[in-house]
Amino acid sequence: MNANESRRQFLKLGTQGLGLMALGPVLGISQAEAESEAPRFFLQIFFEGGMDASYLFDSRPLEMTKNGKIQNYLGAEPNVWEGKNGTVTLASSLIQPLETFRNDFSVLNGVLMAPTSIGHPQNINYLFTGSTFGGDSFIPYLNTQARALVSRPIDALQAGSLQLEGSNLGNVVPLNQASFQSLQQKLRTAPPLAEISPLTTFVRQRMSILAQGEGSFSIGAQNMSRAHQLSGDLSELLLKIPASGVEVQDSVLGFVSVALGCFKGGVTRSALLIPDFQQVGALDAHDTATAKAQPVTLQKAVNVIAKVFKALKETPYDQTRSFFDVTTILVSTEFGRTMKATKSSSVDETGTNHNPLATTLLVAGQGIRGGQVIGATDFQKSDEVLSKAHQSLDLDFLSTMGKPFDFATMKPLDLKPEVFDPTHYLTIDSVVNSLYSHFSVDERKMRSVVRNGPKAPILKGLFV
Amino acid sequence: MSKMKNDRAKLRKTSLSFAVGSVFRPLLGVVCWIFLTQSVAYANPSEFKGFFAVESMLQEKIFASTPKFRLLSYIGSNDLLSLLGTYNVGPGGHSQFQNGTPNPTNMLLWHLTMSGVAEDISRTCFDPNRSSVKPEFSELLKSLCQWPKPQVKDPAVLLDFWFFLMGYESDEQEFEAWRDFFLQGPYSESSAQETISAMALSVFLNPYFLLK
Repeated sequence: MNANESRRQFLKLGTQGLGLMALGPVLGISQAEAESEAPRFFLQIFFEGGMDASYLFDSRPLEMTKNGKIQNYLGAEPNVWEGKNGTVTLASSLIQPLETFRNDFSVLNGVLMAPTSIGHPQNINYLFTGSTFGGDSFIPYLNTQARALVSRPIDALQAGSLQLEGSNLGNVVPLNQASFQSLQQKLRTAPPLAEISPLTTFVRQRMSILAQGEGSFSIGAQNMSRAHQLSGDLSELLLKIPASGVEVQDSVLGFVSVALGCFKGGVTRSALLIPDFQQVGALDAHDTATAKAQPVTLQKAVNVIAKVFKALKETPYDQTRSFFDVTTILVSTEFGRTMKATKSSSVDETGTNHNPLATTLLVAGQGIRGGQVIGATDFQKSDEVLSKAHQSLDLDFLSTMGKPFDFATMKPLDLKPEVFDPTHYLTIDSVVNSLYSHFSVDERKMRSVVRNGPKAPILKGLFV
Repeated sequence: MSKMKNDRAKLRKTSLSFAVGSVFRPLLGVVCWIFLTQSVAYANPSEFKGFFAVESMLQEKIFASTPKFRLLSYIGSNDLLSLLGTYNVGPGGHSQFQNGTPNPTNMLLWHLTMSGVAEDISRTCFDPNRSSVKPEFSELLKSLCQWPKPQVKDPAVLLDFWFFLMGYESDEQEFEAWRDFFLQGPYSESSAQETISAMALSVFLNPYFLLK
């Protein structure tokens, strides 16, 4: 064996060794082990299409509508919503179902998504991976890279469809209540898969042997080998999850029920709920008709959020805690909306376009210091003088934009910078890094706002 | 004087190219070493062929054209179909193959699904009408249904069976390992139904069968 081959062999063995080490804590996780670990789960509700925050927690006074700046098909003056941290915003009446949970969640206003791109796929990708194309979704890392937590067999459950370029989503599994029940039914009638028979040993041996090459097929065989080894334990865990009593017709609650069962049962740590058109309606309100329907659409969206909060609060995790106490929740969308479609549009007959400069997110649940309003947007009145930084990104003054943000005090700054520097703003990268920090994810995974720049600051004041 | 200038210029040029070469050659060497010794971890890993591709393969290889073979009947529910790898068309019309990467859930489902297919194939020993396999495959199964009689333990018979299911998808080593397992292992004296089911399932769960 020459030097090159020995180095290749060494690296191969080293990699396999690391792979086996990674498998070590995963294989054989039992329900008891899952329950004994300090519980920490993640649920993301993602509203695809771009929610108009002016109908939620980033409203504008009617004065701006009267002056032709922003559409407001609700036609009502918004109310003041004051955060416990002293930051104030305007909220529409549509958020009323969330009043009950006022101290349980915090509002993040003026969050920047991908400042250089306005497309749906690019901003959806940016939200999940930190890159407009490709990259790795943050959700699997809450399972595989969380140093203080034992990996679960599945990285996340998903309800609803999402197309991402992300390369690490292979273990995010679409599983709604109907498919979960079908899977359990199938497992009940099948011979136990956790038992190792001579046939299973032979099958796995072939997978392992084919996994020893270095190309695409061998890596696929590696994945197959690892997956097959975990599938037996997974089948045991799935069978132990009690059947839900929730009606299948309510797909949101049905999925939540499955997710919570899988959290408790050690199957997964995360879930991603993507409400579909049937549940909410169209959020991408480019045309006037869809824009006029936004009050109804966004009321439905708020109702979904309230329904999920309520379900988590009312489902006990153990004798002293509900699932709301042990699950961190992120309510998100890929970007906000412009105030009207074009410079010449009448606010009474206009749609809205994409605005990645100002997105509103909600965070709630475990570890979150609720009741806050974090961040703010500019263009709060018709005659406001906008910063040159804003003007450089929004030539027609159709968008609101997040204000510069002081990460030390967690307050927006009333500055009007001349030049746009994304590191001075509240970005989705900071939100994701904050989640990473909360889940003890390896710091090397943390995102930077600009290429080769420092890591986006963690929102320390967001957590208790 | 001009000769000295020329000489100096030549010397500078030579020195410079020597210096560059001194840096460049080792650097090139390091880069080549890195490429030669690193494992290829950048290839996109092979995914499952997916539900419809496997259904099509089974139809073409071993099942008669009528009634049409339905892999869905072995999954048990439409809801689980997408877990096995299907194309999903997004809002922009762009289609993307999803759930093709092996994970514990889809591996579990593939195992359960293909176990059902394997089981049905094996039951033709006792109920020839049970599954509508092709006549030529049915003839082969009749032979195998004599297992574990010595005349059936013919490598040529096993090769025929392997070839029906796997075709040219795999290399010879896979067949040899599979053949030896059934001729020499715990199934060498097992019942025909149990053995045929195990034979089929071990082919179906081979990466060459399920992966692209």
